[in-house]
Amino acid sequence: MENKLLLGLRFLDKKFSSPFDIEELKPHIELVLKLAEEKETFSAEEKVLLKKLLYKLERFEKFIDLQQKLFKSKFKFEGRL
Amino acid sequence: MINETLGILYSALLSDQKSLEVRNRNVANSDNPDYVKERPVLQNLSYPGGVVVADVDRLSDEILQKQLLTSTSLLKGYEEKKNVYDVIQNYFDDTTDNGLGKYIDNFFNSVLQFLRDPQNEGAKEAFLGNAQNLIDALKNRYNQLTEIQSQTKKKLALDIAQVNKISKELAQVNKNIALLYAKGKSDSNDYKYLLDERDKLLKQLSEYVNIDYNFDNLGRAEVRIFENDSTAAGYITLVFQNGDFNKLTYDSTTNKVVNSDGIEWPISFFKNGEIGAYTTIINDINSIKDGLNNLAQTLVNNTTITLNGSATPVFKGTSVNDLTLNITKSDLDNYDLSSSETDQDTIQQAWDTVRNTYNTFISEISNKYTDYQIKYETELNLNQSLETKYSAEVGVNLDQELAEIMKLQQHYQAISKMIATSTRLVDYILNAVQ
Repeated sequence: MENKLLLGLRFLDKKFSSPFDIEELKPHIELVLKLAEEKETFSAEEKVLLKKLLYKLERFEKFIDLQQKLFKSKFKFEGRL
Repeated sequence: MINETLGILYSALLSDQKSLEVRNRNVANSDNPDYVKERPVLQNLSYPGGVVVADVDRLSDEILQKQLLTSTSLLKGYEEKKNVYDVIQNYFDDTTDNGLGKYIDNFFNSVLQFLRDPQNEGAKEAFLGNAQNLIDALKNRYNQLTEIQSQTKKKLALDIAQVNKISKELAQVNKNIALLYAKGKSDSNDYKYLLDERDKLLKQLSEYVNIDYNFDNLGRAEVRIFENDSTAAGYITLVFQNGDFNKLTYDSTTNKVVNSDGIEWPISFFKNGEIGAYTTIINDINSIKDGLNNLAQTLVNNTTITLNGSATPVFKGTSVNDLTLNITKSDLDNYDLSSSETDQDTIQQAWDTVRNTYNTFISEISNKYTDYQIKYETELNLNQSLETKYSAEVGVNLDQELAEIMKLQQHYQAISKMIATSTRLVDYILNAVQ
């Protein structure tokens, strides 16, 4: 049986490279996380790729937070807020 | 009336000329990665009318720039950490001759061989030889780590010097911005050049350390380093908008950074960039050395054989540095065969314990290495995508510039025709009057 989780993780490893991709890849990310949730043990490659995916999500979340904060401070500076 | 018309046309020609200068500058800098494209801002003149280039807009994207610099700082930091861990990982690579696993296994194997046949001279030699090899290998790895640490401290001192140099230049740019601004905005060409210079220096600075900055209305930068993030209260100011900067000195013995006023800057402030990486590496290596000391201690505490009726440690010492052999050839010559079976059990258990300690030690290094690799690769991709986005936003688009130049040319031609017509009109009126 083909390993859907590994295929999904490899796909996201290649395609998911910036926060600008989140919208497009959201269904894939959700599916991969769901598959990972259902699985109990992971191979070494799956572990690394999963670690990478989770790190990306964490990093990109920080990116979006900073983006939001910078927009707010910009509008404050320009007197729009 | 005629004079006013010509005046209006003259102002239009002048603004065309200035606009063309701005467009030309854009085209000339299309290959310059530090250049931010500019746009002339036209303004209507009140009586008698006309048009003037009131300002030159620098089409920068501060939000994207800040994200890019944050990412650059993280990327440089992870790159350095990954590079150092490439080397450290190699020192403990059990798939090559470098790993300590081979030395541990050889040693315990030879102890077991000796215990099975204590009279065998070769087994005694192998026992003592492999024990010494293990001590030497541990000391060698420890010294290699100390060497990396001292090299890292040297690099850190060089980087601090580099930060001082950039901060000084940035402070000078702040002074020059104020100076040129005071001279008047008419000299906008040089003024915008200074902003490009400022951004270039900020980018360079972000490669060394995690910076945050603010621009005032003139564009002068105040550069700070925050302890956590820019919302937190704890920060230190590196460059001031008035043209001052904080000169830093690194003391490698105490591993501390001190500023121009002698105030000590906590090393915890330097998180990203090369400097952040080096401070982390120095601490990481201390942990790895602690791990090696712990391994040495485990060896000392668990590896015992029975000599003269009591359990005697094969090694002695409290750390890798003072680890030595506790037994001699004559001790092995006088070994009591009756203790062999009990000692074999003890040594087998010691082997397992030491191996477990070593495996935990190795997996900690390997986890950190993977961690830095993952972070580096992620940040590299993000950085590249931000670079592309940033240069598309602020870089010069030659097609667009060409279209603008063509518009200016047509505008210029139209005005020329209007001036020619006005001249004919003046001639006609003069002739009519005569």
